[in-house]
Amino acid sequence: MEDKQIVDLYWARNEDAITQTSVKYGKMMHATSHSIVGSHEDAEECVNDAYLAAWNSMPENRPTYLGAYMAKIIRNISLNRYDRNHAAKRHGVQVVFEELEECLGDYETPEEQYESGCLRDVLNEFLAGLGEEKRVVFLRRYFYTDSIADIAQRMQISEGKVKTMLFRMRAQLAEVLKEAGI
Amino acid sequence: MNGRRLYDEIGGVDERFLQEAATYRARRKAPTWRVALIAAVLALVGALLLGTLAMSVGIAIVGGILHDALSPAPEVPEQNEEVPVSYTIASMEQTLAQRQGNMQPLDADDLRLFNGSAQLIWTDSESGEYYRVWLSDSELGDLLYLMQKDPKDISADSEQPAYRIWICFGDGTVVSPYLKADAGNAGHGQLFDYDPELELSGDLIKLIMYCVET
Repeated sequence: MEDKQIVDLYWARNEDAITQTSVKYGKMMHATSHSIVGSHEDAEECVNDAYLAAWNSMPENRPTYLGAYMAKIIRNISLNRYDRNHAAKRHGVQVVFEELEECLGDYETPEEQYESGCLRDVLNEFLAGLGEEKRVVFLRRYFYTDSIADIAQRMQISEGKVKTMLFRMRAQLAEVLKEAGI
Repeated sequence: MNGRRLYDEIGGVDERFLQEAATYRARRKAPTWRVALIAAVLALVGALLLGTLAMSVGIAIVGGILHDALSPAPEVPEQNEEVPVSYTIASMEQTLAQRQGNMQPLDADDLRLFNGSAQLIWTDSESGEYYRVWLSDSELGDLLYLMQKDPKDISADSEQPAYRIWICFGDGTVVSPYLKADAGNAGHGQLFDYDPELELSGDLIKLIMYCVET
C-alpha cells in the first residue's frame, strides 16, 4: 500500500492504518529500535509505542514520507528507553556516540545556537553535499544505527570500505562544524 | 556538546534523506573477471549458435530444393497460425493505455525520482496523469543500451507519439527514449516536456512493452 493511502487511513481513524504500517515498516522499525536498545523485548515494546505515537500524532500531521516519519518516532522512543535502562555497558548506540564525538571540538556550543536550529541546517547542508552512496552510508550508521556489517551488506561493499567512508565523513563533518563555530 | 547531542540532532535531518537511506538499493557491480568470463561464455554460445544456424540454413535450402522438385503443389497456410505482435508506437501506446487502466495515477508532487530505484514514467496527452512501473537494474541497462543503439531521427511522415515517456534512474536523472543522448536532453529532479527527436526502434518498443506489462 502506498504511504499516502496509509496516512489517509490514520486520518480516517481506521485501525487498519497500524496493520498496514506494521506490514510495510515494522521490520525496519524493529531493527532500528533493536540497534539502540539492544534487546528484542524492549524493541518490541518500543515499536508498539511508536504505533501508538503515530496514531496519536497523525490527525495533526500529514507526513509525506511515512517511512522516515516512523523512523524518527521509533528512534526517539528507543533513545528514551535506552536512557531509562541506563545501560552501563558499551554496546551498539554507545559506540556510535563515541564515533560522533570525533566530529566535535573541545568547546561547548552556546545553547542559543543549538536551539536556533543552526546545527540542523549545517547537518542538512553537509548531507546535501555528499553523494547519494555516502549519504546513505552516513545515515544508515548515524540515524538508523546499523552495524558496519549490515551497511556493507546493504550497500554491496566491503566492511573496510564502509569504515573508511565513515572515517572520512566524520573528519569532513568535523571541519564543517568547526567552520560553523559549533 | 557531546556525541549524544549530535546523534539527537541527526534525528531531525530532512526526511527526504531519511527516506532515501531507507529505500536505497545498491547497484551490484560485477567484478571485472566475472564480466570477462560472461563475455567469453556468451561469445562461445554465439559462435555455436551461428554454426548451428548456418548448418540449418544449408539443410533448409537443400531440403527446399528437393521438396520443390518432388512436390510442386502450393503450400496451404496453417489455419491456427498466431498473428505476430507488431512493435509499433500504436501497439506500445495501446499497452500503456491498458496498463494505466489498472493503475492509480501518481501524485505529481511525489514522483520519487531520488529513491534509488529506476522507473519508467509515462503520461498521455489527453489526461495529463502520470503512471509508473519500477525497473530492475537489468531492464534499465537494456533500455539505455537500446536507446543509444542506431538512433534514427523522427521524420514528418513518422508515427507521432501521443504519450510522453521518461526513464528515471533513481538518482534524480531523467531522460526520454524519444530524445538524443545529449547532455541538454537529460533532466534532474523533475520530468520535462519535450518534442520527440527520435523514432523508437522495434526492439526498444518491444522492451518498453515488456517492462510495462510485467
